[in-house]
Amino acid sequence: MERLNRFFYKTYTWGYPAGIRRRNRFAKPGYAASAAIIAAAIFGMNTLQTTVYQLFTLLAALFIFALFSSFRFRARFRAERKLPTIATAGEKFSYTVRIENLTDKKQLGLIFQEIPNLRFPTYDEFLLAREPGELKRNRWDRAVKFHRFQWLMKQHIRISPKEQELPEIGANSYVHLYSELTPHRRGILELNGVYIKRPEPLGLFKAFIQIPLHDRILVLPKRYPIPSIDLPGTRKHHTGGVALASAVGNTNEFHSLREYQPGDPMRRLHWKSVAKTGELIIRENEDEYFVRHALILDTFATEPTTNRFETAVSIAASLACTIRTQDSLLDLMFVEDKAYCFTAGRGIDHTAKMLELLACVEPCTDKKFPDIFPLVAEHAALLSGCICIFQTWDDDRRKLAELLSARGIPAKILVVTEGETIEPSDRFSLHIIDAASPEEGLAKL
Amino acid sequence: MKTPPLLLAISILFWGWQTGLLFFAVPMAVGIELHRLVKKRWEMNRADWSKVTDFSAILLLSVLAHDLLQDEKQLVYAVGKMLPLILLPLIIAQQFNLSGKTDIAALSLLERKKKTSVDRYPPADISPAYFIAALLAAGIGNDASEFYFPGVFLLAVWALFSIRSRHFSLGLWAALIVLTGSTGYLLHTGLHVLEEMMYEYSSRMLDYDPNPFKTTTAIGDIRKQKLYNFILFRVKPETIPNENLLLCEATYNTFNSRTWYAMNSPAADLKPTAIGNWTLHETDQTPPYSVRIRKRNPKGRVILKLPPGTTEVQQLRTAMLQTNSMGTASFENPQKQLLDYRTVFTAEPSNQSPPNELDLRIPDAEIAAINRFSDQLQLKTKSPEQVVKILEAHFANEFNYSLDHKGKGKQKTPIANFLLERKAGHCELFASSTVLLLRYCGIPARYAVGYVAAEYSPIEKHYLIRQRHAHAWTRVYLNGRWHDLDTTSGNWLEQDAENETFFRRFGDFGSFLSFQFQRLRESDENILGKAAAALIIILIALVANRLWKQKRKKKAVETEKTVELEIIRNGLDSAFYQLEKQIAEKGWPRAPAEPLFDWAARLQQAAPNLLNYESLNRLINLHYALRFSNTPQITAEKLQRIIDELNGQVK
Repeated sequence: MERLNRFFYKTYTWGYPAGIRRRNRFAKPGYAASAAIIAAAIFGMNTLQTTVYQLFTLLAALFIFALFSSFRFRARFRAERKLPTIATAGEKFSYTVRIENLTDKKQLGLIFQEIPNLRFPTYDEFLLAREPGELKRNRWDRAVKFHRFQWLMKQHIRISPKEQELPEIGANSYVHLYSELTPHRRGILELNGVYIKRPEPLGLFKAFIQIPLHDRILVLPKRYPIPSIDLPGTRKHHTGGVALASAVGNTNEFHSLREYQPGDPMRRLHWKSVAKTGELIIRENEDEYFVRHALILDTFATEPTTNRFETAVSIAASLACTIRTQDSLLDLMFVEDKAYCFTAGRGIDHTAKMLELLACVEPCTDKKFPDIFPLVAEHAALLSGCICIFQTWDDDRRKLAELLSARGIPAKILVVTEGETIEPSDRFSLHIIDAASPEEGLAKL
Repeated sequence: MKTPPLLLAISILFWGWQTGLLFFAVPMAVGIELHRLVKKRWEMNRADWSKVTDFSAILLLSVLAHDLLQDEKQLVYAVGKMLPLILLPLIIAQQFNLSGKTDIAALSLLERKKKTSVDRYPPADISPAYFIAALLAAGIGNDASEFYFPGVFLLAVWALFSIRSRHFSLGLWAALIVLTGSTGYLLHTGLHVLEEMMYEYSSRMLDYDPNPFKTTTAIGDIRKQKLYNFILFRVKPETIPNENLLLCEATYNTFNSRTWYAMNSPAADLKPTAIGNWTLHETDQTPPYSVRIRKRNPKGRVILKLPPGTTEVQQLRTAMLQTNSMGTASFENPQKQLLDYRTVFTAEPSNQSPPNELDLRIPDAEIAAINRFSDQLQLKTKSPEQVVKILEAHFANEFNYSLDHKGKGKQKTPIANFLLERKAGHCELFASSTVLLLRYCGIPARYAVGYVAAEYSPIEKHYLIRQRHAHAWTRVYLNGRWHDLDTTSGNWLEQDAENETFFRRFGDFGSFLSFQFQRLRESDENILGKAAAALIIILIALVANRLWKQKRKKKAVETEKTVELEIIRNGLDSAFYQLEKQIAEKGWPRAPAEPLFDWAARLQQAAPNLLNYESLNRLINLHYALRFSNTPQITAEKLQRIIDELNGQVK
């Protein structure tokens, strides 16, 4: 089976570029002509019975001349993109491309297409990943894993570039082409260049040239509409909270005055007292109490790429955008190559940064779920409440929920499933969210 | 990829014209283009598409059922011909669908059940597919029409015009189209020629005799049949009854579509009466006729070519001979030996088994046509002898011999077309029709295949039997005996000979040579062996002579080389070398490989008073002349004189 899987993997990785070359070479009428040739060859095989062989020879001549006239395309172009810095998975973004004709000849009837970076899944990924709805496929499809490979390629390439007609470009002139792309998946979208294609005179095939043009764009996770959620928990005392102070909340509450000590910031000088006494007097404020929530993302997966994980990331992104962070803090905690805790809110950092982080988070396949416990325990004292986004509900996850409960941190637990049933818990209220339709589950939050 | 307006309708009319279904095609074309007049559109969902697909499936089943009822043998072609009608509901539904496309997933029962999403099989425009189907169906259903290629070409040009690339000029496009059309035409005519060449080649190379139990005729082919002039075998007449002697290979009793079978006629081994002698049929009187048949390199299973009423085969080199009740005799010839045997015969096909019910059977598909034809001639009311005479006369007067089948015809079967419509055909049609007509009148009849010995070569003193002499005729049972009845109209032999070319003579000569060669090789006197021994002796003598001559030539060349070397050596003892030695001893040696003139120039610069450099240069010239000219003696004397002069000068 191992050998067979390797064979499939090699065949697909070889066949995928061949498929691209075929699509670049064939125009739609070319496919129709090919199908017609095959049909004519079958029906015209017996030349004593039918005259279809005459159609076959006509089509064969057409095919040969069209193919030969599609081999030469010597025009030269220069291209330049104006891309946005970020995009969102599943949402169309638009940009412009400047195409310059470097020849002394007018160019018309050309086709433009983006060249994405062709990154193949690794063999392990091919072996372990599971396409959404794969279990519903028939045995043959499941065995050959062709659809899985196609799905993985779509996830890796992130876009499905479409052909677009180029307007007429005058000799040594340029045009601005307005183009649109829809990324399928979060992460870094890499564009390697553009194709300029020219259909041959008969319109069956295309000649094409590639213009290298490398660009990158960050694709943020897909976000779902989430109703305003009532997050659990109360304000907590934050030692050193002053460092996080802004002009909002309790930070301006006066506590006492004292003499200047080296290291005190100048902005804390109480100028009125300084004027009165002639000494440097420092104003002391109340210690700070504010709300700090944790968003714990369960990144632990047995498979490299799953729809479940992507949904969990999207939910985390949606929550990060929804929770108002002007007067509270939000800690995003997850484990990838190590345990991360990223704080946003109260001017420390923007939610946008958190989304950028989530855009690049990858599933963690080499660690166990309990690796996140120390991180949570470290921050537990400061947390007012917690939202956990789990990919399953098992003993380890239950332990984390119990740990939070023992520390008196109220938690909202979301479990992303792929159709499987989760046993309801007596102690914890679980929000089950189906990866196939997360909007439904999130609306019930 | 939309097809241009009216293209589909015109394609359908073309299909109707080519297949003779114009009656269907006109309303179909109107239906396809109706959406241009009726502006109303519907938004069709999966369920609607499923219903339309079901309707198409019903049409397909109806066509299949119709073809099965009509006893159609080639269902694929029959269904292919009706493709435009079968796909009509789909194309009309697409024209009236709001999106102008077809839900592809609905075409598959499996995908329909799975409720496959639109993303997986996006809706597609099927009009190009329908256009191709119309062209295919026109090709499948036409009568070898000469208008098919021009029609298809024009329609293809129309379709291609709409998708041409704007990048190129119209002139270039038109040039490519003309080139494509001409190449397509040349290719299809070339394909035809190639196919005939292949057929001729395979006929020559394989040269297998027919299967004694089954023979497939060319009945039903739509194109002109091709005959070839190459020689298959030779017949040496000893005593023969008439000029056009029939040589039968096999006789068959059951007809189906286009194939004749020898049913209930198992092969049985025959025992020789003497070495090489095989009695096929016992007779009281001595048969009056005999011929000798010779065939070169027969391969595999050999069927004996037997004149009618062959009683005995003599001098046949085989260990086993098999015969069946139809008088067919065959044997295995793995060694590809020359076939050379003598037959004695009575000229009446007496070696046939008595008639049985199979000799009266007519296929159901043919009954209607046979009945109609028989009624026209009122055959049922006539005696068997009269029937035979009427048929002979009618076929001779009212029918023509033709190898051109001119398409499929309007009748259901090729036999019906031959009898009721065309009244022209080749021998297989005449023979098969005669058999069926005789059977219809209650006269047992069989179908025989073989050759006619009609071309006598006075040079070879043999009848030459060519591929075009292959023939089919009828064996009829009258008055308790079997008779041969050849109803093929008129001068078919002359007509077939019309395509003879001048080059045929070369082929005949080659065939004669190889035939004689094989005869010699396999003759009992071993003439070929003796000739080969003589040839080897001559060859050895020739080779020896050549070798001796070569040796002499080599010797002469070596002598020449020695002379050449001596001449070269002449210059090496030039007196100049002594002078060079003397100058070297004075302290001015010549550097290795230093040219003499360079050396002289160097000396002149370094020691201008050493010697007379003008003389030295002259001397060098003479030395070179001595070394490389053809007159060394003269130059050697001059050289010595100058050296002597110089010797006095060297200080």
